[in-house]
Amino acid sequence: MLLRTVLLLAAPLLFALPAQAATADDEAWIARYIASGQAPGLTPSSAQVREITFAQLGEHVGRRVRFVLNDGRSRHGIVESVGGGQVQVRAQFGSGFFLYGLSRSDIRSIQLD
Amino acid sequence: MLGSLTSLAGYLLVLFVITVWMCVKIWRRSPLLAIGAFFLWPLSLIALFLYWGDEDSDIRVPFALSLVVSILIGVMAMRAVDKGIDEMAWMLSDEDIAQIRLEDPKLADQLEEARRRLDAEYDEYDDGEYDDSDAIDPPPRSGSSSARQPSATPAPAAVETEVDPVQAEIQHRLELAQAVHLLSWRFGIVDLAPAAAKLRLPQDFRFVPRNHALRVARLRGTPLDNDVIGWVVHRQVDLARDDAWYVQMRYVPLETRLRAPTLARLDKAEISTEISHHAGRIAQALQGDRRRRAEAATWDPETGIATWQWPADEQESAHRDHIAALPVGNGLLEFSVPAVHQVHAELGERAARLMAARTTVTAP
Repeated sequence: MLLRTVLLLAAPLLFALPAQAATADDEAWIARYIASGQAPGLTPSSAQVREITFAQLGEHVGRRVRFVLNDGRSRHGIVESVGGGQVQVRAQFGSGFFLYGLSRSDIRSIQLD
Repeated sequence: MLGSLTSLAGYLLVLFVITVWMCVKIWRRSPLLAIGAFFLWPLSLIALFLYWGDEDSDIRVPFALSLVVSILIGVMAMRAVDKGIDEMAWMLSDEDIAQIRLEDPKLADQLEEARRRLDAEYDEYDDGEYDDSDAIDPPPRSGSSSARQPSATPAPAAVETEVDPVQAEIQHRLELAQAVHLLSWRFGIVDLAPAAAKLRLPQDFRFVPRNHALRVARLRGTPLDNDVIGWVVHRQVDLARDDAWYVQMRYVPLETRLRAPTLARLDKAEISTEISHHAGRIAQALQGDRRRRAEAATWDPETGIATWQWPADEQESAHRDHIAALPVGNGLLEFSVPAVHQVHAELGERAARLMAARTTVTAP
């Protein structure tokens, strides 16, 4: 009788535990990802901002970068693709986003932002 | 608003110092009048005329200064009130303003007027800045957060344009940063009304309800549908950045409840097919009028949570909306992490699923 009661009480726990473990796993994974600095949307500290070359851009597809152009102006955006001396950048503006291309020759420097 | 109040406090401090100076001068002739003038400003008029030209107690200079500072304070106070109304107009929903109207119709009128004016200014800015720009195609308009459209045009940045898109972008970013700064957050347990459910926010996450997120959403180019409940955002994520991610929650009532499949007595292959079909049905129910193919759709029979991805836009891009959905009553609660690049796909998937898993249904 006692065993039956214990089993009955434990049954919901057995179902709940894997779900809770999955939740804890997701939470811990997100915390680690953010701590690693790889997650998007985080403002990097000045120490984390580093300069990269155009050739390295391909390794940073999906990351937000800052381009300083030859005329001194700067542009921000997410690297969508790189190829043929051009980088396609995705940026948000107004009521949507837009894609624009920048030529290697127009870019003075690139920073992971 | 805070800046205006700080300036106002500064002016009040200056007025206090001038008043003390004035009272010290009056004290030399009449301590009683000095005390009276300190508490009742019009009494200083008596002292002004009584001691006009008096070597010790002439208060012409402090009196004139106090007048000037008082006028400045009045102007500042009026500006602070106007600014406060503008900010309230952005943050409050139509329902909130309707509620205010019941108690204070005049304030409600002012709020609506401010909203119309700000909307007009915003639209003018949004439309005008990109007119005739060859450098960058105008960003397309969209009616809902799930209808983003790209304009894919290579744009050499050096092309001369009438309006400098870089300046327009900077202005837009500043406006967005200000709107993000003004967000007010909730922590702990969040009621997900109209869904009969509560969400226990994970550590380091915070919630902003729809009403407060409206302006930020518009500036981010993802205007909120009416069924959106709010956003859950990690405290380190800056919503002013293009690559910011968040979990958007919405509740979609259904005409008929989606029945979970019975998996008992099915073999492995049948279970897998049934799970995939059920997740597909849930995705279909949340799709609305749009035709998007749910990718990697699956359903967890233990938690009842379905997860899948949708292409974030109609172009072939690397961005996906990551969705988790939980049945609540006769409807579905959708947890969506919109427009996440595929390099961060696992983040989108886990974040959506985490919020769904931490949601407790409070009524059957």
